[in-house]
Amino acid sequence: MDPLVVFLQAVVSGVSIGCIYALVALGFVLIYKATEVVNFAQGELMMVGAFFAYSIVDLGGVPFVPGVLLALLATAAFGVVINRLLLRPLIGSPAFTIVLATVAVSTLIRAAVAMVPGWGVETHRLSNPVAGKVIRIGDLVISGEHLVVILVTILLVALLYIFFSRSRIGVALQATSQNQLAAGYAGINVRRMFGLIWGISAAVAALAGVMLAPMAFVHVNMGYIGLKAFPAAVLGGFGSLPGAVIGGIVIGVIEELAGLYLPEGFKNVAAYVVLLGVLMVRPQGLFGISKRVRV
Amino acid sequence: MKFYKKTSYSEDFRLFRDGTMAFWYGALFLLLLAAPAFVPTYYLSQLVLIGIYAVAGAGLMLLCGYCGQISLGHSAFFAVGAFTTAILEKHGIPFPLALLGAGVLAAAVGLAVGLPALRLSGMYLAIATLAAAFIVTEIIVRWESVTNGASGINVPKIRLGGFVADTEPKLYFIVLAVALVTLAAVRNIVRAPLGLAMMAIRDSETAAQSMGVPLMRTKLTAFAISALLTGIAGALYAHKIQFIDPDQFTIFVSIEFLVMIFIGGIGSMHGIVLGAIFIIVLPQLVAVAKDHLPAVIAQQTGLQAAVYAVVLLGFILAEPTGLYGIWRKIKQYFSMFPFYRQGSLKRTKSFAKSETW
Amino acid sequence: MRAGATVLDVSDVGIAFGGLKAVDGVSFAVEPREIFAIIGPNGAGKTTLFNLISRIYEPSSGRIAFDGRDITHIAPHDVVRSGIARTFQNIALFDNATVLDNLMLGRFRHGRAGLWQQTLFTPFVRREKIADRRKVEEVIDFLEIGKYRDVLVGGLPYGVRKIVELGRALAAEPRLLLLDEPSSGLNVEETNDMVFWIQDIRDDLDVTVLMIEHDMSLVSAVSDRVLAMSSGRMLALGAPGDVQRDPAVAAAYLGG
Repeated sequence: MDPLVVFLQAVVSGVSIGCIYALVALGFVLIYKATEVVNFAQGELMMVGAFFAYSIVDLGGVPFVPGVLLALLATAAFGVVINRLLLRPLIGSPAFTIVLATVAVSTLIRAAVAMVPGWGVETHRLSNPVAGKVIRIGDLVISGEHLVVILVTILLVALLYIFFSRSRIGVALQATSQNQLAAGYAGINVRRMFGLIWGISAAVAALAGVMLAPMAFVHVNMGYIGLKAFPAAVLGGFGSLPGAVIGGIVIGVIEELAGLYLPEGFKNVAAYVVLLGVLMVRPQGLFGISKRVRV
Repeated sequence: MKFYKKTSYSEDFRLFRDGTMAFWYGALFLLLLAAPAFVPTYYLSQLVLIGIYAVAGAGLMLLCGYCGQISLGHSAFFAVGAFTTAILEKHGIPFPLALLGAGVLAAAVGLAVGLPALRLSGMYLAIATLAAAFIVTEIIVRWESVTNGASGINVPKIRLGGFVADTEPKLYFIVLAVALVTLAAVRNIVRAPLGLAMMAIRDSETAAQSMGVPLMRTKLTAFAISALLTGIAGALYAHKIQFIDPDQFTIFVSIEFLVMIFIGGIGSMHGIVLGAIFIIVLPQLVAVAKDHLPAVIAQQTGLQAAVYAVVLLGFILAEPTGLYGIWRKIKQYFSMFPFYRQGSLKRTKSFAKSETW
Repeated sequence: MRAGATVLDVSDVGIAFGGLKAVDGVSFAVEPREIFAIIGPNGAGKTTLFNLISRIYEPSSGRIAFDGRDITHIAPHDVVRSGIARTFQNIALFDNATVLDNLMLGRFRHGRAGLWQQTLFTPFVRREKIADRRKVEEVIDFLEIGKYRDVLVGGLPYGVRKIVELGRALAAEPRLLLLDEPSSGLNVEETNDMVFWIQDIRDDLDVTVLMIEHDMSLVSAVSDRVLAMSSGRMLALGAPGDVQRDPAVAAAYLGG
């Protein structure tokens, strides 16, 4: 097959998986910007979202689109609960403690999911309305799943942009992200904002899970893919939302190309090599600002 | 209440606070020496594991607990240590050199990772170390000619001249010796100016720097030492379980180490050993408890991980000072009895300073 | 030290953040055993100037010399080694450590023991620690904070914490002491004590003092010379009385 087509095929694949990374990274950076918490359980939120969708749509028989929306809501609620029960009491704790807390949460979620009857440790298939459908551009074959991921991501990013810049709550969230104390004094209920951010972030992660399911199936270890959110966020510049999205897509493309052209094994670590490289050359990432210490 | 009347400055930094403490630790030492005589082999092997984890814990406590830098990648150093010693010994290199080689190579990898990452705030270090761990594991898997890839390696027994560590007690004494030396070394660093400098970095980098502490150099030193110790622990671990493969050194091991020092008690020497005891004993307790639980819960594969996470969260929410913190509170209660009040040992919360993250 | 040589020589130093010139063309020299005060409204660039001297920031122009040696580009942790110690506007102490440990860190720059020696805790390390402790006890006596010796800094009242920070700087045995608003947050009594301490530091310890201050009574009582700054630039430099009466300085404070 024409090498150019092979290359483009890989790029499309890469953009598509990159969008998944982008969504996880987006949720991750949302939480970090607002609360300074590094949420190691972001991948698990994605996994839970996929499981909710599976239960509602496949086990429960609800039609796909409303079912998925319900799953997003359920995951959002789940995220809010986690924040309320576990993170809120820890406000003011040293960073190390909070990191361990989110790590513990991720372990707990995995263990809990493994114990749910009907979920367990088996792999499940989520209904896929675009299964088998493809688009052909010349010799290039773009699967329906890939197309959906890319389109949904674009749509979601646009939606979030409008939400954050135009709506009252969105602006309030931005204020909370920049300066919690000032936001509080301005009358914004900071704690409620934290809950909201966790909800939004969880819903975004759930969406990523639903779209990942056709490619990776629904199973309890799905969350590891979420670890790629770190390189994406670092590449984009921690604290930058557009950066997280672009970072994710770039990572996805690099991975696919590494799998295509480099020896075996490079694909698995490409994202992490990029991460270390970015830290060495340009630690603030593509869009981040280098922080200055104030004394 | 006990008052410590000091008569010279050197008493401030003595190894043991006073005669009583020295006595109890001396007794403990003798007990540990005599253990193989009266402790069943199974429990002896648990002690060996505790010793191994304590060595790794000592390194990580120095880096995280005292210097305040988080690492999620110590499983990489554990793996490097394990594989290095196995490979060196298979090629005939004597154990002491192989052990040293394991530590040194682990420290070198630590420096390679620390140099880029430590230039930034602690969170980037955490993520960079996570990345490094993945990369190291992948290298071990792919470098089949040397490491035998995913199939793993059989680890030869420890040979020291004519002495072969082919029984549990023999391995136990070697691990005990390494653990004691490690704890003494770390304790020395902590009470020396370097330890103070590390703690200064943890609490305020600006202030530390203004008092002459070279930030990068000190953090790298802490990182390299912790990598070295974890590498040595890995080497001992390899000999304990006698067969190593890359799957044993996942990110869970890194997390296990962090959990160990946290639950033991961050920033304390006792925390190292208490944490090691906890991490080895907990699975045993869960296994025992399984026999008494209704089948529905007991048969779950995720049960141990769930208990683990719940205990960790419990400590985070209720007792962030860890087991050592609980121990100190108990001692305080009894020494102040009947004047103890609930707020006696309460610490005020400090708010997250972005600067130190 | 050569007789007559200035302790600190700041020549045409400037720094810009983005387009904003936080410090612009500042030049002055501090004489040995002088108490030199820098005053000015908020945002004048005073602390920024301190941060340039203690090398937290990199100047975009100019030169800083200490004791004749160019320190414009040295590493931040070498500043105290050269002989300059400072306090911070917002107090940078180690809250989880005792007063004693905080002060002991002030001795860090004098340490000569290597990594191996410390790991083995050799007699050399032991001797150094005891010598450090003796020196720190001198500072504790000087500042009269003996009763707080073993208290965790995090639990101390603000005024005491400021004194502890001063103590830590003194423990480093500096030749030049940079004090950033030594009296801010202190009540009248504590401010009076500060006047005496600053004078004693100069008289008994032979230390030159460069300080940022807002409290004019303290400035008048203690300073030999005053530099007034505004918007990053120098307004006036001279005896306290002259500077305070300078119309440009009055205008700057009243919003000219």
